[in-house]
Amino acid sequence: MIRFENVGMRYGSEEEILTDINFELEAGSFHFLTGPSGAGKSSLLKLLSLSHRHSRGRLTCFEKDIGKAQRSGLIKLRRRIGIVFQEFRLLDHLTALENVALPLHIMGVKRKEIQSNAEEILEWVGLGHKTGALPPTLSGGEKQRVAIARAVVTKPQLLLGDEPTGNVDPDMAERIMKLFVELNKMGTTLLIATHDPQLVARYHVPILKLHEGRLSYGR
Amino acid sequence: MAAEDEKTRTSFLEVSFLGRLKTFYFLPPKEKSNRFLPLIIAVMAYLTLLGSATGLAIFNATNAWSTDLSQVLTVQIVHPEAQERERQTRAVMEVLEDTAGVIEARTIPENELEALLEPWLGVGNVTDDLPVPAMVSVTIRQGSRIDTAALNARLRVKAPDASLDDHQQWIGRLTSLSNMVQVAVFVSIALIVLTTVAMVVFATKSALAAHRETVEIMHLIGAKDSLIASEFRKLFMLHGFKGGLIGLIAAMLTISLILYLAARIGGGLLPRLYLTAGQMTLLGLVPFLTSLLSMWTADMTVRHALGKMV
Repeated sequence: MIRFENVGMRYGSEEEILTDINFELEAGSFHFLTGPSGAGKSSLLKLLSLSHRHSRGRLTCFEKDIGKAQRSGLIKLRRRIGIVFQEFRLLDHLTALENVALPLHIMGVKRKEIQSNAEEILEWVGLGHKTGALPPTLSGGEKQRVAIARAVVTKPQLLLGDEPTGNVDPDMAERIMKLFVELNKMGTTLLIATHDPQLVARYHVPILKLHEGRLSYGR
Repeated sequence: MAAEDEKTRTSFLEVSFLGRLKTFYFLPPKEKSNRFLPLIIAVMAYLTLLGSATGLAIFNATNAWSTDLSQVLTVQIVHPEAQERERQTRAVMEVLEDTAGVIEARTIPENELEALLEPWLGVGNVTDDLPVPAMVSVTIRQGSRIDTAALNARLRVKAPDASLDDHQQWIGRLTSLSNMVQVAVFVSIALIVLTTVAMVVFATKSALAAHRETVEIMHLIGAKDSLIASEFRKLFMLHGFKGGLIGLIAAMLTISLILYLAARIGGGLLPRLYLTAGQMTLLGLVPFLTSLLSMWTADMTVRHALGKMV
């Protein structure tokens, strides 16, 4: 589903932040992405979320060569990808329900479907009673669950997590991970970036290790 | 209370999705990054309206004046002795009666001549011993081409102290002045419009910077540029309309005052300054024009900025 072949990435004319990246994500797979700060995890996630383009090599996403894809084509591909951030990135003036409804609205789904799908997904993350709550009134764990609901409400084929448990307590981190595992069982391809070794140790899934912009496999 | 709050939020969702503008309010409803923009647009609209009104009023006045003058000739008989003046005036009238294209030739009575001089000399200061020339007002048929040089020569044969004035020198100067004023007004308005566009570009960039995070999220979750731009379009359309309306109200008050004062001064010294109903309606469209200009500029700016994103 996702294939990196000798991919390199640089910002402007600076040195390459990612060098000769080679890996493949099969549909339905679950990987961790680890590495110290500055190793290039965020840059790799930017390539995967199609918010940046690679500088060299070949990157294939959903059978499309991203290097040759038009900008309008990337917009459509992005809708097949969900992303959860460490800092949640919810819109504070919208309720939990509206935040979750946002991607459905963007896709042009009918209002009735938007309402029922958004409510259903909030129920699934355990926040059915918080539909009208604004993000500033929610705890860190609740915000992250709203963010997960927003990321998965369109049933994306690929779900990316950028340190999704970084800002929540261990119990909530466990609960969030269970949601991810459940999604993976339903067929969603997962890539979770983390630098929490304990979290990685608890789940027996392949690890992509980044070090100084170069990728190696673990486990 | 909680249920009430819930109801309010749900209704916002409905308005968000099904509002008449079909706009999803991903920007905060009380967006404050450009709260002074309507005032800036109001000043620009005010200046545009004053400039336009001035240009139009001058155009109307000069147009009316030159139309009136082009149909009127004036014969002046300057002689110190009243008897000779009257003789030559009669001779002039005879020549004019035999001239094709002349509808009416009228000797201007002394009281009318005195009234014309009063604004300069003051009431009652036109004395009997003041040698006021005799004047004959000639109305000619519209479109008739009278050879004024030949007519003047014919008049001079019968009345050596008569001179014909066809006002062409005045009309020419007046038209030149009017054209120059109109060009100046047009250039001023063009500069004001360009300045307004620049202001809106800066304001849009500032709004984009203030909501960079939101725009990035929208972009990441697959929003098309047109959807993101639509929110800014709506926001700046409202800013433009508010500014245009404030400018219109202020300008209309000023224009009304100026026209009122000009009408009071008028009395033959100044041509009548006025705006037609059509022109007033046209000026009344300014709030719509400012909102369209503001909306279009914001849309272009946002799309340009989004175009730089992958």
